[in-house]
Amino acid sequence: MSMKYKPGRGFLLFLVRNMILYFLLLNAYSHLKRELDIVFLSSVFVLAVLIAVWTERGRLRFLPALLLILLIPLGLRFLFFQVFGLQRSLSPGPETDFLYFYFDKDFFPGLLPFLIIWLFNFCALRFPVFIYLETGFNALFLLVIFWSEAGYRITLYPHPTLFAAALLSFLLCEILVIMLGRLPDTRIRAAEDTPVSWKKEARSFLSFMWLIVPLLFILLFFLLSRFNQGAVRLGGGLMKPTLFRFDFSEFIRLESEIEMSDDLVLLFRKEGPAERILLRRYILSGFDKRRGFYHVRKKGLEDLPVTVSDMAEEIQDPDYLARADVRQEYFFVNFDPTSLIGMNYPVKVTPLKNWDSSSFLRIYRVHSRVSQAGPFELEDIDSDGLTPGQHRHYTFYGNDEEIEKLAEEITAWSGSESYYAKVLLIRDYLKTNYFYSLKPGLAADGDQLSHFLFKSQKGYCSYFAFAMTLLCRSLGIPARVAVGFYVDPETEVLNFYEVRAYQAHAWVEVYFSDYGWIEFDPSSTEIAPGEEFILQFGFDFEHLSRLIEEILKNQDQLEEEKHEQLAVRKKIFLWGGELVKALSFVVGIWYITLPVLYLLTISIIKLHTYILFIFHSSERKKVKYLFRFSLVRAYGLGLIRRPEESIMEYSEKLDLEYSLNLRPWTEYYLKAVFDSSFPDQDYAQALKAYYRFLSSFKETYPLILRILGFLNPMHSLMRRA
Amino acid sequence: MILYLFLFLLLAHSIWPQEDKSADWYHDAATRAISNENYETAVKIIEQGKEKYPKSPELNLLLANLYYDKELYKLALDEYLEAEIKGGEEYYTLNQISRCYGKLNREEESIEYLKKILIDYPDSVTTIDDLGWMYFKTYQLEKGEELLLEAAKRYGPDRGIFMTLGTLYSGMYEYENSKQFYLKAIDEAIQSEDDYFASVAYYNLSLLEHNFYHFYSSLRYTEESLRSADRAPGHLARGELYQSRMNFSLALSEYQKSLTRDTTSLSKVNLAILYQRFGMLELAKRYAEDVLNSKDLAWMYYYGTDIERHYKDIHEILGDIYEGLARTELMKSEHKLLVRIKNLFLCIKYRLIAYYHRQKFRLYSIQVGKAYMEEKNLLDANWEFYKGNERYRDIALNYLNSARRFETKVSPHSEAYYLKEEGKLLKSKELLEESLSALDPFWEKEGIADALILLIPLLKKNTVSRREALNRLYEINPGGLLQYGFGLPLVIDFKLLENRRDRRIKHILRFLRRAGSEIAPADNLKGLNYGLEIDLEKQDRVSFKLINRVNNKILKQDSVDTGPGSSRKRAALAVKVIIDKLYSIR
Repeated sequence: MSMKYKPGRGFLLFLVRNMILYFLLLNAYSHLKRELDIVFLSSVFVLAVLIAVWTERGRLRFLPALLLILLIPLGLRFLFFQVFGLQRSLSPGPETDFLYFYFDKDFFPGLLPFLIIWLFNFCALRFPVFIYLETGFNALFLLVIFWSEAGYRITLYPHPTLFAAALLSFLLCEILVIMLGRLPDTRIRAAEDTPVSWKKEARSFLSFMWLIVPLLFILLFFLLSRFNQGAVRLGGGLMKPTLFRFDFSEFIRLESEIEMSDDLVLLFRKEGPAERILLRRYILSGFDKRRGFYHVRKKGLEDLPVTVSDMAEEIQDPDYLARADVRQEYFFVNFDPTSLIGMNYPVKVTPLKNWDSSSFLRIYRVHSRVSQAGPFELEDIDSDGLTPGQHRHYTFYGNDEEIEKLAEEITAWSGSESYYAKVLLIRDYLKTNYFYSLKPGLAADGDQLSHFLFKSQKGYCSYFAFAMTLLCRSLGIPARVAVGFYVDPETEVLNFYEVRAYQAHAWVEVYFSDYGWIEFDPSSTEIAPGEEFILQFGFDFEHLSRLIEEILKNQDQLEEEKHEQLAVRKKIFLWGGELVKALSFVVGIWYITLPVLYLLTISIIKLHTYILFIFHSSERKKVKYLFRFSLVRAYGLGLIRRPEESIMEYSEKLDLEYSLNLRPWTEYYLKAVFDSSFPDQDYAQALKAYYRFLSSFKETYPLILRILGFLNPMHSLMRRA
Repeated sequence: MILYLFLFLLLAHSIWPQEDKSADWYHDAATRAISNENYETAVKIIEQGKEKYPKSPELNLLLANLYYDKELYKLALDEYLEAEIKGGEEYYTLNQISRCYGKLNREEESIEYLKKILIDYPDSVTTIDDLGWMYFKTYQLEKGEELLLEAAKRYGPDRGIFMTLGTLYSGMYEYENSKQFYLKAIDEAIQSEDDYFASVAYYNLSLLEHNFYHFYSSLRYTEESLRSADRAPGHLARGELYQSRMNFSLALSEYQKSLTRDTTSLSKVNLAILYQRFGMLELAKRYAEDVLNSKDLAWMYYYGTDIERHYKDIHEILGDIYEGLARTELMKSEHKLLVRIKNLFLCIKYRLIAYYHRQKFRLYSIQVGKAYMEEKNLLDANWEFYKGNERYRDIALNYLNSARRFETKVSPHSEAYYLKEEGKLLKSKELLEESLSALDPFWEKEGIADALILLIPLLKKNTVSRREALNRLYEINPGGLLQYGFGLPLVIDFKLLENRRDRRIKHILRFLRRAGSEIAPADNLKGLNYGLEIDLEKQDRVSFKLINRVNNKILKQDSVDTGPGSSRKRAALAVKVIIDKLYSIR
């Protein structure tokens, strides 16, 4: 009984292909969604598809079809204009006058997609092999569309998760297209009129997909990585995208160029005194010349929590002097909801209940004890109070002599031994002698900090914070970098403050005995010459007012969250957090993980017969697995056995054409499989035959080719022997 | 026992203390919280109070005022409206509701409330004035005129009413009436020593004079406005007058002064226009895009504009800027093929962006035109419809002529501008030349430059008339050529070491031609007023002088170290500097 592919398969292919095209079209025009009529654009799409089917069914040749397709829109436009003319003569007035403009407004932007969609559909229907090219083109289009969208500027996706989901769907659809589109095979089988085994089909398909799927995933990771880079730059070199949201990086490197985005990150309400509002996310106290500053979780150091759990958490108050209570409420809009932000020093974190259909991802309250210490209090203070281990940690600066020398020069003339005076001198030195710049430039020797301090003298906040911390540390003053958000007190509206991505900031905390870690901001406010920022980020009052309105209306519901099954939830929460972090890390180094993953998978697939050979006790089976392994090696080099060939014919062909000495080895294999007896001597002879084959294989193919053959995914799943 | 009783009473008091709290208590407590900037507490107290005394409008008003002060107009409006429902229909509440609507650019509702106030408080001159102003904003000019004339008659001289009347008449293109009321308002203000008011009135008067092409008077009143009070609009108006004289440095200085005093986006808009006019397109782009991205639009309440009009203007400027960028991209002297390809892509990109902004501009023009039409402002409606349909000649011409009929009746000099627009639509040299001859050569240089930009493409290449037009445009605005694809026609004179051939010459000529310049052959020098002397005596250095051939005066000169490299590369570097210098404003 013969069985061919059902007609539904072709239709499904047609449908999925066009879904992908429509997806690309929508994304390409996402910027213009307010300007372009989506109904018009969709009509253009449908028209192009229908005309493509019609021209293909009509067996029109390519060039006449192309000519026709160029004329059709113009003809349609002419027809429409005639109708408009008639309308104008029947009912003159502005509304009929404007029909021309309204039509053209959508018509011209629709021309290009019309042509492309027709071309793709026509070619895919006419030349089945075009489907593979189309996959490539689609991937290219995807890249072009999203290349300029780096840094979460996609208008179609309000949320990065949606974007990731859309990309994944795109990939799955493309894989489905390739799977459905394997027409050459289909035709051969149809011609042969042979039944199709779905298992064989799937195996053969998977063999083929070995090549395509990694490529598509590389594209996906490439785009996501591009997004990451864009987002880090847009986050002022401090923020990075987690899998789903923004968050600060636990490692801060000095970038050669950053940008600023005005995406709303969170809303923040404060009650209590605080002249300077610095919302701290991470303390970066670890230093490594190559890695920069990083967050350290180590016993003996001040280890504040960095995530907000489900229940209220009290943090031991170190009872620093001259501190005032400041209560803060955070309403996250586009920020990792597990992140803990708080003014220095947080003593209590209370997650608050969020209301239904809220605009906020997470709401919590932080009580902080904020320093009010001024010059009089700090003037005569030193760093007593830190353990020797802590002191060592907070004063480590990599023994950079240049930095040490500079720090001494800066503080030399003060004549004061006061450590507060030295800190101020360093801060003021950086503030007054250096410029703020979003483009600090690339250091020739890779040492960005040294480039900043001794050459370019311009950088963004991280440069200033790094520099001040290291200068202080070189004088034995315990200092660390803090990252978070700077909030301008002037922007207050009813005690609410908008926090946008460009407010991400880095500053310095210096330790003062009894008074704790005190903040210093060394960033210059002088813009580097030639870098006039004329952009001023204004309030979006309407949006802010909407959000404030929502909070005020739901203020009564802002109570502490109740905790059912708290322990389990907390565990899941923590595990989830760790999992997300691990995944983020793996995604972040995709250029390593992907090849490793590939190597691991291909090794498992190709070596598993060899492993079975080693561990199996039956000699017959051992020969069988070893022979299969030999075939896997041959297939990797493109020595494929044709369906009509018997195994012996195949062996002879390889012996004849490639001098591979496979035939004796095949004979032993057949013996092991089919003979009633297979004594030990035969097994020993079989192994000899295998080694002869192996040496002939090595002689014919040099090492590099054998390695490439091993890595080649094509036909790796073929097991016919 | 007594002790227990005492403790019980104390406990009872602390458990049920709220029972005793009056609405005033909540009001006072919230007021105290507000003055301590404990807004969250204040809002909480007010909400509690509102719950307890749901019929009292006082707490709503307190909250509304807090929101209003914080510029949260939507929230404030809700509270004022609630206060009104609760019976707080006093003058203050209704006036605040009207103001909130105004701030939210909901003029019709604002008018409704002003009318409502006048039912209960018919003698409120301020409300009458506000209503007159809102009538102006919604172009119900006759209604405004009737209302304010009646008020002036009934309540005697009032500078606010006079000024709004002046503005209304200005909208009606009644020059004499408008001027008369502005002058009355100024007199009143001077007598009352209200300098700020006088400054605003002078400024409005200067705008009126400008609209009617009385440039000297306009400048005089602008000076008076600034003398009375140093305000941003005064500088803007003075800058616009300098700009129409195409005096870049004076206009720039005024706009920059305005920028430092301005709370609106208007200074940035003017700076973008100025930079675009004078070919500094990157700067213009930055300013214009900044305005486009700005989300603070509440300032429009006090200005005769709205969101659509504002965006229409911005998109028009951005369309011009990107058109210019697209053209200049292809005129650059680049010797590397890859850079040329990149420039080509940039040109396509800029063209697409320009097309986008133009379409947005046209769309907004039609929307604005419709709004004017609803307001029965036929002159502006027709003008906007003309702008929106520029691509469809017959339709555009129809609207242009309709607008022309209205405007030339009240301001005959405007005909010069209509000739220019008609010439642009019909691509008519004659109409454009007629327009050029009708424009004031001192005050209307900007209009002349615009007409020349339209005329030059219609003139045959390498003809005397085209050369003269280009020379004239260059004299008015050297920065205005490249962005329209024009170059200055030049007579080139190379200075070389004796008997030496220099391969750079060929490339320099090619790059200059690419930058739009006509390089005239020696036998056809008529109309060529400018000569470029290029010294190629050194292999790694090029010196040049731009000379006015009529009076032999050196206009610009410079030199450039081209360094080593191919002759093509060195020529490209040299021409880059020559072009920068040739078309620079400063």
